[in-house]
Amino acid sequence: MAKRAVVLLLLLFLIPTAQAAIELYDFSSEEKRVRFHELGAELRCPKCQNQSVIDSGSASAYDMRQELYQLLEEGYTDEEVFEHLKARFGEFILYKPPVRGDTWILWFLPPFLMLSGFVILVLLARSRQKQAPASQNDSVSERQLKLKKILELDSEKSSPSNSKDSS
Amino acid sequence: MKRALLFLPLIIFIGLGIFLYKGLSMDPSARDSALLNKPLPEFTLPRLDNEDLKVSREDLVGEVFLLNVWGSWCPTCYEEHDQLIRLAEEGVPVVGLNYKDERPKAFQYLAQQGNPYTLNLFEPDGVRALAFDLGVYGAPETFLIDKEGIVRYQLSGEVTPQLVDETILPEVRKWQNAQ
Amino acid sequence: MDILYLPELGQFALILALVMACVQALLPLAGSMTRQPLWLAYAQPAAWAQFALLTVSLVFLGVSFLVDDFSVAYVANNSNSALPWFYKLSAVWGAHEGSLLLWLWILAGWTFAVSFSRGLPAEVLARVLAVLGFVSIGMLLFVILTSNPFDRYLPQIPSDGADLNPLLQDPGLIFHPPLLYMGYVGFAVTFAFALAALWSGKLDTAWARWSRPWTSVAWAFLTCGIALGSWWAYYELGWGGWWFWDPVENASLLPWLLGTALMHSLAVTEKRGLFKSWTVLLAIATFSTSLMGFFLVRSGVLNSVHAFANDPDRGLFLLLLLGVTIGVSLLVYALRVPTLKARASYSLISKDVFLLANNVILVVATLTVLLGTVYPLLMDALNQGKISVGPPYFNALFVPLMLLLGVFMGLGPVSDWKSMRLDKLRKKIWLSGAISLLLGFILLPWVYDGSWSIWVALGLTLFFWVVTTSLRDIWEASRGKKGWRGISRSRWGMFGGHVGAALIVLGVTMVANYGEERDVRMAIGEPVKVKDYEFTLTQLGEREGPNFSADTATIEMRDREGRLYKTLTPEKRNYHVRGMPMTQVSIDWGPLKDIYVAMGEPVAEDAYAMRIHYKPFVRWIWWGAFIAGLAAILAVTDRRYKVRVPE
Repeated sequence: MAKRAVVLLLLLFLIPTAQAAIELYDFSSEEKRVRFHELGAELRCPKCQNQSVIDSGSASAYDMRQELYQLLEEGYTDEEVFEHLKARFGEFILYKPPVRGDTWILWFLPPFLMLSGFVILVLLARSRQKQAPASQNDSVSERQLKLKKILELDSEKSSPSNSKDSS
Repeated sequence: MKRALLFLPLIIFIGLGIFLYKGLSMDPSARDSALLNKPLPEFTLPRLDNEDLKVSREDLVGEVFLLNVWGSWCPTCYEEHDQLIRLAEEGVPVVGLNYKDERPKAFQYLAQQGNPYTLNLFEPDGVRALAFDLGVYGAPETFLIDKEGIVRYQLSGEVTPQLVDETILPEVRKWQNAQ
Repeated sequence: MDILYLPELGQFALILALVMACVQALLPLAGSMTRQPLWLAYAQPAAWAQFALLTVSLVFLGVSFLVDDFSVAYVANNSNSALPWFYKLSAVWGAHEGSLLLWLWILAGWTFAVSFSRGLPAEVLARVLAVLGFVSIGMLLFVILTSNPFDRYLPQIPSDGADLNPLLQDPGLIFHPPLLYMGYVGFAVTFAFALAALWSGKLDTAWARWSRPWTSVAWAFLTCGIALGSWWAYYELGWGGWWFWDPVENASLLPWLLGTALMHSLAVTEKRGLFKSWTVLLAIATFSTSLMGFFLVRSGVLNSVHAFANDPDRGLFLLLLLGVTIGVSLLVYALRVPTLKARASYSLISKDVFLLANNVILVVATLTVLLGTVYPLLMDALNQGKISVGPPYFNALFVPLMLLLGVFMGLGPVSDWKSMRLDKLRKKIWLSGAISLLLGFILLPWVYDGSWSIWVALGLTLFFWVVTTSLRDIWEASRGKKGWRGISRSRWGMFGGHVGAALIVLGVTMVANYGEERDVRMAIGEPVKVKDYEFTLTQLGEREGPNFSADTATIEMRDREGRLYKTLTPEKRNYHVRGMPMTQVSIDWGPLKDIYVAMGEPVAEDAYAMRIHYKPFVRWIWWGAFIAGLAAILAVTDRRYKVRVPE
């Protein structure tokens, strides 16, 4: 409880801003400028209530941006940048969760569910299809033709036709 | 069999509910330091009281000490200051890291509140800084460093009397007695 | 100063509303169990009384705001004497307590509308109203016991209020919560129909027919509410983003995804009598996610910029409410849903299967968003540390799912119910497929930008695929006996909904891949070139608003020939009461692109850092959503429903 109060007090120092964080950096290459924005969007501001480093106007985000700029200018790769910041602030600041043992479910459950869902769907449809007699597969016009023929030949006989809507 | 399957959504929901219940008592913004059980980073910083004197990592490592990040702008620091004085009186070395502050204001703070610190490091910037390397993003934060210079405990927030009694002092003693 | 007693009356009205809700819920329940049909008749008047009382309550809260009654804590915390009157009114739903009252009022409103349903057996209607009554009881208890908007600050009445959060002082935010709540709460109606059907044990296609219009209208409102929120975030927050996968945003997306699945599933159940128990489960799940979102946003369990009150005590009450509502519904479902398989059959290539595929994809998408949103909580609860799950995760998993959904969105309308021959299907889609691949995969990416990217290709192809197949379907329908006039509104609704969705895909594809931003230094008189346009800062100034002061800038935008194209006026405001700085961006908007300018910090006497965004096709994201929403409303007005259109 005290911890919560303190965090809230700390947050007072983060004046909540709807201020885009716009500083001017002198990038040595266009590629670095683009990477700055891309990586910045993947880094979480350590102190904010869920904002990326590139979006937040807070002081801690400003520090992170400065550091990011320096790291990029010093030639760090994307991986190295993430490692450097992770070593200081923890995994918390990476918006992309790691792919490892305890995040397997996170990354692989959805694709697995997707596949199983489709497999079940196909199996379900197949089992239903077996129940249906072959005449189901005729189109409307074909069956109308058949019906017409049958009616012409023998007005007393009639075959069941499955009516079809196309809506 | 089919009927049993129909209970699956309910079971999943109950599971989720348990986690949400646990979540209510947790704080989503609190987190453990990334520096736990890792060495204190290298640094060389000027002292607060004399900017020509520099202190570096080797100067501090060797005995168990607390590193307290503070600033005159931080209200909670005022709240916890008594506890720091108490810790100092108990013989625990407390090194201060004056963070994003101005010297005159820091001096005034110490003059008014008392000075528990064996020495104070001065770091006005947030970038390429020890505070940044420690993953600090606000004040107060307190680190416990053991004889080998490894960070063994970290606290974001106020040092309360309860924490001193239940956690900090025992941890300090534990690492002081460790080999 | 006179103390008005309106807040006390408002509170009293709330309590009476609770009594009415109890009548509405319990009497039909008792009547159903003891076979007393007279008791069922109490549901309707109780619903009307509840609506009237809640209206009184809401109006009195609004009046308290308008007259600046700062003795009411909620007014003091969210208003200010300098606040413009329309924001004083929208402040009613600007924070936790008031927004709850709005939610309740909207629930009562929907219930009121449902009570006029014709074509339903009286006991079905009574049961539906009873279920809605139970939901109302739960929420009323929550408000009265933990979140009373009428609490007073007495005797120390503040002299002025803390002002409405400046972020909320915006026209978009006046409508965003009401539209959203119309959607969230609207799904309670389908939920009520589902539970009523389980209660009675009769799960037939009539149930689906009755539920469809309510579902579609709720969906329409939710779509518009979410789109409005996205648009608001775009122009108000200053960084040009329109979706951030923030937990609160995800909370609104969950019922939307399931609601979309529900709409389609209801169509199959109504037409073919299939998937009944699945549709019932979806109906329960949709409203459940809407309640769950409610919990996530207000309990402090997750970190979000949008989050309302971070109060764990309220969170506990909400969790109980959630647990009881969802738990009981799922239990009733498990115990009472019929397990007999429907007699109708279908083959692999059929509209039935394609719609089921739609459901599979949407449900997996829902689970993905839910998983990503609560995973940090799960990991933390299991002491596995703190991780963050953000846009990189969601984009990676969600986008492919939506692309796959797009494929079925094209196949669905042109396919036949029950069974279709492959060559017939092929005949219907080959031209659309060819055009889409040609334009989307091959031509347009090169034409637009001179380079090719797989995501652009996929997005554009899907856009053309959905549009061409929808056009084909409408064209074929127009060749029926009655021609164009014979096409039902329901069909036009489907057309509009799918084309709207395709437009969203178009907007997202273009803006995500071709959008650019530049941080530039702008000094007075020195032009800066961005993306074929020249921007020149001509003036810096200041102005005073009703409750803020602003630094203003005037920027002239000229095209390649030097002609003045548009004058943009971004500004940076400082709201006095809360001391909050805010950027007001200036946008030159149009169907093909937006140019968006945000003011940064001053870098010199007459120079500012500015961010200029280029956002191609971004408007289509919201226009597409609104088109889809309107189309859903259109579908509901189809003659075959014979129910009065609600609200």
